[in-house]
Amino acid sequence: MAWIRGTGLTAFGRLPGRDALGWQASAATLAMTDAGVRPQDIDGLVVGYATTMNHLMPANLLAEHLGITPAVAFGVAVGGATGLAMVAQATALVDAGAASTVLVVAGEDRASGQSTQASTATLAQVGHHRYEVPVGATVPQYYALLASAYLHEFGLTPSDGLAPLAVAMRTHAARHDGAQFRRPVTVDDVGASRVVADPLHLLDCCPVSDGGAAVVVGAAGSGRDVEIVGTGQAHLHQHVSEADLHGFGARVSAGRALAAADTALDELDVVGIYDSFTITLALLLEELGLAPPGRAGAAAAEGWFDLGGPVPVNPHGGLLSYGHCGVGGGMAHLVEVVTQLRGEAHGRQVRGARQGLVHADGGVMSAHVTAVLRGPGGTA
Amino acid sequence: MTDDWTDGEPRIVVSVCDDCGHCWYLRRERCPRCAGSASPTIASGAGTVVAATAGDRGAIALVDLAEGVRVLGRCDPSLRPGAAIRLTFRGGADDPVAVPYFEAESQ
Repeated sequence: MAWIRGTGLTAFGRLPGRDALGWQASAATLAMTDAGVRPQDIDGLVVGYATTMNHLMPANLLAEHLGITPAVAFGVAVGGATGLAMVAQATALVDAGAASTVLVVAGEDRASGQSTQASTATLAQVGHHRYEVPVGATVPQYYALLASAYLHEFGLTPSDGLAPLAVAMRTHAARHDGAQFRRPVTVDDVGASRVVADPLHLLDCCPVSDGGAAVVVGAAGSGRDVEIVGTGQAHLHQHVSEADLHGFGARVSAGRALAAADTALDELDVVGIYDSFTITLALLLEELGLAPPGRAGAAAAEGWFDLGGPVPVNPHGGLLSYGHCGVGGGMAHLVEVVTQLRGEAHGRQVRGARQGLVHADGGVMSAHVTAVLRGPGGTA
Repeated sequence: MTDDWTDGEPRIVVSVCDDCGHCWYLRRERCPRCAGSASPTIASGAGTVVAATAGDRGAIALVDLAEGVRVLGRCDPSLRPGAAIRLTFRGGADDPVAVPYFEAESQ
């Protein structure tokens, strides 16, 4: 298998001054420095799409910018799952011997590089161009539909089924200097925030952010390296009208990753779960088997996902509070879990974290990618 | 392909596989399950709400039509999951074609 040898994560927020390429370069430099490698050591480069740049050849663009001349380079686009999909491909390249040191990069000026209207319209293109986009649905509305079905099925209200997840992510973010939103919120605050798309309120939705994230995936293993012990994917639908609302693909994806890693859910010490909306996190936690059906919100309220709980989730604050700059947003979960497994998370460290799982979805719960990671200390 | 609301004909066309009987809504020439050929059926317009959301940008719903396909459309903001609906078509000033609009089925 392959190892995460270095990570880079910028602060997220509304931070004008860099374009998408600038954020990618910043994150890439942080990751290379952390890994102790130079641009000339990179022989594989994988770069995620940026909606503000929309370039045909994002990896070539960044390679030239950084002075990297890789043996293999390509861009990837599977929505929010892109970051983990890139890491899965980097792992495959290393396993195959096609590259020894692969730089995986994402970054975007998603908040300051375009208007909110432009961002909303771009993201809405995940809908079917002929049958859904003309209806006028936005991504928050698609997820609101999933929330509507979920709350109806389990007889829950937004304040008991969803809001505690937003509160838990904000509690985590308060401990991370790079997070976009660090002021604690309550369930009442979530309910009092404006309705974006009923039943989702503003605090049920991630912000749009500027920022970047990168990792170096390599063959060698030094003392701080985190092993990628298994990856898995599932791609069962694109559009919400063809989704199985009780099996989006998370269970299949994670099952493949856990099998490859020869481990099980009860052997995970920390997890990073994609949380574009509170409903995203609820659905993923439940389909993954990390919370009982209909109980993710209640579990959050009971502290399950806190640092000292049975399943610490997104100690950096997740997309909901650390922020969401696109592909880099989904990679922040990976960087956080790696940081936890290295024992370098300082004030937000999960004690004794040895093994972790990261899961992301793209589209409307459409593309699923999971990675299981093992820290330098190994696992029992 | 049989014209539907996306072509300006106010109706929903359901494709039925000639080989395996699978039904689908999103236009494609072959069955996504078995690659069989397809025959069109015009939806009756009866269905049940699976999910609904209302907000500043209007109300939309996911509806399971009686023919066995799930469809996205605009809707009466009072609709809730489980409600029986009747399919109509409405177009605003900015819409090139009238789009599916779900109303509560009168009892």
